[in-house]
Amino acid sequence: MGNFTVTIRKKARYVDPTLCNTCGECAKVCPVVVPDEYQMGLSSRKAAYIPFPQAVPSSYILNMDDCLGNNPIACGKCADVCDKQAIDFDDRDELITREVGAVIVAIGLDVYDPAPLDEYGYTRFDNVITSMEFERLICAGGPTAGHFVRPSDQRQPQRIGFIQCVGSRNPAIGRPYCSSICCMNTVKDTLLLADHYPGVENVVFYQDIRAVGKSFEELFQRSKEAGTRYVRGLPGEIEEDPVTRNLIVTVENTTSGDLERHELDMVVLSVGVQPPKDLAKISGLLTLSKTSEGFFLEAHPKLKPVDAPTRGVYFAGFCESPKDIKDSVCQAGAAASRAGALLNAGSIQIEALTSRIDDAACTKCGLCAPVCPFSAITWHKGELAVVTEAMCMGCGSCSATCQYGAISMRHFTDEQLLAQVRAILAEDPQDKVFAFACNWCSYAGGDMAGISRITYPATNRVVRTLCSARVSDEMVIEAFRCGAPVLLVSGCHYADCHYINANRQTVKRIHRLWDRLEKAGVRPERLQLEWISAAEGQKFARVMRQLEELRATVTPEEIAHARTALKPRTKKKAAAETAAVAGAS
Amino acid sequence: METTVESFRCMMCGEVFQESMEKGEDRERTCPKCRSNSIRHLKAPRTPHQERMP
Repeated sequence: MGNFTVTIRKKARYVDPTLCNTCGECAKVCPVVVPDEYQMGLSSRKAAYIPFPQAVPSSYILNMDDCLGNNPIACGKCADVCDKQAIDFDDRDELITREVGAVIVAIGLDVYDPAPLDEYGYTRFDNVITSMEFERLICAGGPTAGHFVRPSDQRQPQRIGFIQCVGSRNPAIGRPYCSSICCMNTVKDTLLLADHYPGVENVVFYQDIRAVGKSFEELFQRSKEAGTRYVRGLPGEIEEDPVTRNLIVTVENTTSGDLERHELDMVVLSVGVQPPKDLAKISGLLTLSKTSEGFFLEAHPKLKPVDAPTRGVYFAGFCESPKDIKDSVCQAGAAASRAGALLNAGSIQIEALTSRIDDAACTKCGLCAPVCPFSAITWHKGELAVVTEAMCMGCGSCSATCQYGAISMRHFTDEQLLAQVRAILAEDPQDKVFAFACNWCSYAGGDMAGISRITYPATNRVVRTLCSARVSDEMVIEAFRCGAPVLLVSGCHYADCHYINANRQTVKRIHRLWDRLEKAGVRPERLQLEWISAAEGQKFARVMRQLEELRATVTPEEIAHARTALKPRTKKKAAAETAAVAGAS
Repeated sequence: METTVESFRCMMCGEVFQESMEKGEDRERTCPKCRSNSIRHLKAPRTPHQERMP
């Protein structure tokens, strides 16, 4: 851990910043005109430009995606007028390699594009804008120098509507989460308008105003005192008056129950935020996992909120979850502090819950390497597999995958777990519901059921593993051979897996076991799979009740059949299966 | 992304249902009837040609 080789691409500027004195002559003669991304397309720029006023170094760049071409030079007017000869068409991207001890991931966010929400008419009506476009219009450094005008006729609007939760808290479009910043951004915008243009009418359409944070409620009250009207209800439709270009907003006021129609000069869509598009790429580079909402998953939501599951990687800002500037700054400080602690430590201590490979038993098949979510196992064809213990987090997926018993998990060895299976089922196995539960979620879910005093059948017997992926075929088969009527393998929900995606191996294994049970004439329903989180005590109890009902349907004959039909796998058969899997992959 | 409609069987309640499935998807499945996660993907039966393949 703490040993990353990072390759950084420094993009070519095509303008030497040490020579450029930002006179702007290159931009004046540049014939290319494209929308200015920084101004949200509300103004234009040239191919030679300064990306934004505060850019460092403060010098022009040539955007080769827009330029007419540098190989061969198609235009070259910028080079002709540059007295300092700062234009360099031969500039190339530079790859810089650095050895680093820690990585802080702070890749920010993307803003939701409201175009698919046709009811708001963002693509049909000029005077429907997003909150990001509002920011540019009201900003002194914006395309209108801070004069807030509506796009259709450059006239100052008198009645402005704000629609909240556009692209947030909407499961129908796959965005069930609150973006957390939009409410207070709108409150701030209404105060800005009231300050800049006294007499302007602001109407905010909302479902809830979430003013959580220091002085936020006070700001919200100030907005109301400044005359902003807050209407509880999200508009169902926006129409445009073709003559005045005014917008007719129809909304059900859920407080009064009335259907209201508002004629407004302009509507601002308070757009939500979403994970950045490059998040998947970074996720692959650093073997990070994601939540169901698409943000990065932290190592632990309470105890390690800035740590990634991959050691030496930390999060700051929006890529981990929606948060405002203050929280982002706090998290960035915490991430820097965590990284500093790692870099300053002469040595580190890791949990002794790691895999160990027995070289004598390893057959060099290499099946263990691809199932490791942390890439902690190195294997080359014809060579023994090697575990980098500092990278191993102890899920046990490799140990469960190895058919030859060559990989053992310290403190969770096959022998230890099988001994628990046999001991639990030694007496009256027909009366017991046997369960494997992962340490982080399912086992904690059982604890939650207990401390919440939720009653469930007392027939269950739970064996704890670090991850559901640790449960091998052999453990399941041994439980049935010992007379288990039903068996549960349970783990974290997909997005919550504490070992990135190790529980996907569990799913594959359970599907293989269902096939194997069926072939052996054993009812596959006797093997169950559930995802139970630490907070789902109710679900744990429900599953235990369902399993108890299932157990009652298993006859002694079925149990006896499974005892004899499921044979331990011979080494020869295991080798054949391994070869088949290797060939298929 | 290639999407197909596939059949699934709940191993808890026996409910058979169909859902769209994207190739290479990474998605948790739940029984629409009993909310169990014991969902078995019912693969199409192998063709005689596939049966002959090693």
